Amino acid sequence: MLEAELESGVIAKRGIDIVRGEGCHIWDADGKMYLDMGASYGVCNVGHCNPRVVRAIEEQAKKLIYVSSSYDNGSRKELMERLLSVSPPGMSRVFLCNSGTESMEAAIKFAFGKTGRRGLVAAKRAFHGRSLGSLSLTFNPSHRQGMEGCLLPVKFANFADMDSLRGIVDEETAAVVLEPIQGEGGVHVPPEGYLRDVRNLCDEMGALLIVDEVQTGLCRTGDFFAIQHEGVTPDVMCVGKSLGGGLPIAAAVLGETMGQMEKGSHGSTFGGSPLACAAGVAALEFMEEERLDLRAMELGARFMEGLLEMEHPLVREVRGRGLMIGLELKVRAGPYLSALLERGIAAIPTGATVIRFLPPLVISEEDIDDAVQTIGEVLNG
Amino acid sequence: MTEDCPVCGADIANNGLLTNELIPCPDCGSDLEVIALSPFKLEPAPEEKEDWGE
Repeated sequence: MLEAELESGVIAKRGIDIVRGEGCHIWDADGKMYLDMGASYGVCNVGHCNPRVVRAIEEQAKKLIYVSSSYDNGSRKELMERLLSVSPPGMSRVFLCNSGTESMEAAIKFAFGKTGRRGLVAAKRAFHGRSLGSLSLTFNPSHRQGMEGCLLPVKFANFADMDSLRGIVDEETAAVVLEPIQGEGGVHVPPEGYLRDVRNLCDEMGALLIVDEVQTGLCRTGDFFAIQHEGVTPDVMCVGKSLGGGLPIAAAVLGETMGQMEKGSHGSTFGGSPLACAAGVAALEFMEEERLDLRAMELGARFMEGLLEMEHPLVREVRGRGLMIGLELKVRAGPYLSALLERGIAAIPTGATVIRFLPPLVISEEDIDDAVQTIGEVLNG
Repeated sequence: MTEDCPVCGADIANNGLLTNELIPCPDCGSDLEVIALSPFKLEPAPEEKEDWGE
């Protein structure tokens, strides 16, 4: 029986059985190797089966796999300390959970609790998750279809447009929620100063700033977190994907402005399990020691330069920062994604015309150059 | 050469477009697909149902 016949049906299956991963490569059951240019949706920033992460998991699994967060645990404490140490200045507490969407759910509740307000403002084209709270902040109507009447009321502004934002942020706004660089919406980088202006507007209106760093965070865009590019400190920062080096763990990182949340106001059974935290500590250590932020900046520039140099007539625009890159075509991207997969390059679409590249940050210059060449060949048909 | 937007009727010019190119209508923002160049013909471009997911 095929996996697609067992799975609920919500997942678009590729029909490829992946059995092994190492660094930026994955292999199928027939031994075919793929360059994972999507890092499995941005989860594998430190590479597949990073040896340091594997070792940490082995060692922790022999000692303690799970204990409730009601009890202290060294791995959990170390992860929170490390995460705060790489976060923007003024971030002081952490809520641990299991996925990016859970971190956004926590952020929404914390914002409601802290401000007493109920208004939320997000951006058009935003993606913040698919559970009901985070879906409320996700703009794409196709994700929201069928959930009408079940979602929180959210006002949407044009992304990177302060006039549009000023028009809808008011005294009822609990929080403005933004991705520092929109990912699922097509890889859109805002102009310099936009995030600082949003921060100032939030302060002026008494609203909180929640940034969704689930995809942009952890060195992906050339800084540890994309919001650090503008030197902005948010009130809540959502982190996920590669935090556990491949194991599920995520966090809502809270600024000093948030204070301490009320006991029992939120929780997570598996959030902060010692096993996932040990993996997270190893992943963060690797990111810091190997300077994956700088690596993303340098290799991202090389990759973007290669794509731009193609000057291909099917390419409308190349945009991004670090190793978060969107290649917008003039035509539908689907056939080209399939052709790339056939040629051993696994990338991700966003919208009808954009191919998104989020490779593991351990990717080599040679792999980037090979990918550029293959992309050119595939576009040439 | 121009063609009416099939959604809102706005005039859209063919300034070097390609067959199967997807463009937004400058008036209503609807996604449109260039079906043919001669004669110039546009149709609404429905979002493909295949979701590669996130």
